[in-house]
Amino acid sequence: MEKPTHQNSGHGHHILPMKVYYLVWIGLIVLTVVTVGSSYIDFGGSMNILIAMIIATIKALLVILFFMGLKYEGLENNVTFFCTFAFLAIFVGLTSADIFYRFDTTPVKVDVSELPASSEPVNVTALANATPDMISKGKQLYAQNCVSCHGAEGKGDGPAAAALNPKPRNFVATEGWKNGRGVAEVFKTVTEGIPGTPMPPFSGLSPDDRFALVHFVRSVMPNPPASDAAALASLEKQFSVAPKKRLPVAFAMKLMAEDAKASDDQQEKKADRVGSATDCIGCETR
Amino acid sequence: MSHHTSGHGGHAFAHHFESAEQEFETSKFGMWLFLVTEIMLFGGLFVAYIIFRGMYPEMFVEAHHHLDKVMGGVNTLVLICSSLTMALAIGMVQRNNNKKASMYLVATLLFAAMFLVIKYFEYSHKFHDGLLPGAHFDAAKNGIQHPKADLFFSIYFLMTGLHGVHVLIGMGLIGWMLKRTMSNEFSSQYFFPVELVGLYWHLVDLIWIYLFPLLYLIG
Repeated sequence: MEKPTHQNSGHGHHILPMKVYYLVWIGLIVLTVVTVGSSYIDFGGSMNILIAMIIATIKALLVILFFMGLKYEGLENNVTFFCTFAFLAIFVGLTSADIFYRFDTTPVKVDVSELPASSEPVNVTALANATPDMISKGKQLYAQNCVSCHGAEGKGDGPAAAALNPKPRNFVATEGWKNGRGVAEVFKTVTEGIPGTPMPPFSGLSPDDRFALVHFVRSVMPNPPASDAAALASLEKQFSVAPKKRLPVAFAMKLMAEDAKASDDQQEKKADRVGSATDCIGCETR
Repeated sequence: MSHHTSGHGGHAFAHHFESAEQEFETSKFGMWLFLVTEIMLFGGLFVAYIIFRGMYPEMFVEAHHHLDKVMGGVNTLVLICSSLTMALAIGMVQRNNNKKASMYLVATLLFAAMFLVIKYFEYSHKFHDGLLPGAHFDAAKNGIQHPKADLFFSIYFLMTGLHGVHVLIGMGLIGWMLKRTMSNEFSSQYFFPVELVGLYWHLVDLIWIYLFPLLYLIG
């Protein structure tokens, strides 16, 4: 009656000697003490968790094989249990691989000066001169990009202006221009935006488009001043030293990812601002 | 449900089984199937644990210092002892010793109750310190710096809470088995209900064996 028997042999269920239970119990107690003790020692890295999990698994096996008697069970119960364990291992293993070893998505810094130069040079001298064509092109671009904040007449009173602080620039006023009112100065503002204010950079527009915008804005000004010669020269130099850079798509995507990661918050605000500047235009221009 | 008496002078078994032996094996197989679904249930929570710990490793280290290693350790020992007495109770039923079996079942119940009492003290201490999940987490009371520390306590309460519910259910089942053992329903010929409850109880112990180091013994 006490000797191990296989299932299906009458009523001879496997009956373990009581001694086995006590031995397993002692093993479990000892392992618990060991695992608590090892938690006070720093093995460095992820060794502590690894040791703790190995000990826990040995304990689990003791419970499963002897207390639960899986060691003496038939094939189907073993398959049921160990297959589940295998699926759990896949579940845990793949998740861990993803969480702990995912390819680092921190974007690579791109040095713009290493990018291939575009074949189309930008002729700053030509673009810096206002022509009626450019002004009318600028007017269109203004309606698409600027009117919601700066207003239809450029007085800084567009529908979105009420919510902004500081208020958008009134182009008709002659005082308080951060970068100045000359061609190169306004170009700088359009290209870079004004950090710390709701004015976003419009570097996404081509230089031609930005110059067109500059000329339209200046056409609204009373007595637009001539550009500071030095500023214009430096702008010219900027484009000649680094002729218009055209980003390959892969590089551009890296830059975008970098931008997004660098400042999630700022990016959101920026997106809001750009959104208000472009998305609301439809109803304004109609 | 009608019962037949097996030809070997054994116990009665349900009519849809061919023999008491078949009834025993089938029930046990059913129990194992149920247990593996339990493992997958807790498995999902362990995976959630891995994700949160992977995202905020330093937060887990900081937050786990607010758990009581000693109480957790004692509770581990208590559950291991309860598993032993459960196994001994089954061994005694198998040997037709219902008196001793009842004694061991009572011991198991006492250990289970001890586990819950210790858990009660742990929980009330956490409540008092504002160490609660989600919006109820009160950093002003417990002084934890990490802004995501409430996640640790969400995981802690969810996992230990679900485990605690299993302990409660187990106590009910063990109590039922105790009653049946005391009225001499079981013998070496018929004991599978006690054995199945035993399997369930060992699983409750098994889950705690993993919960303890993962929650209390981080770094």
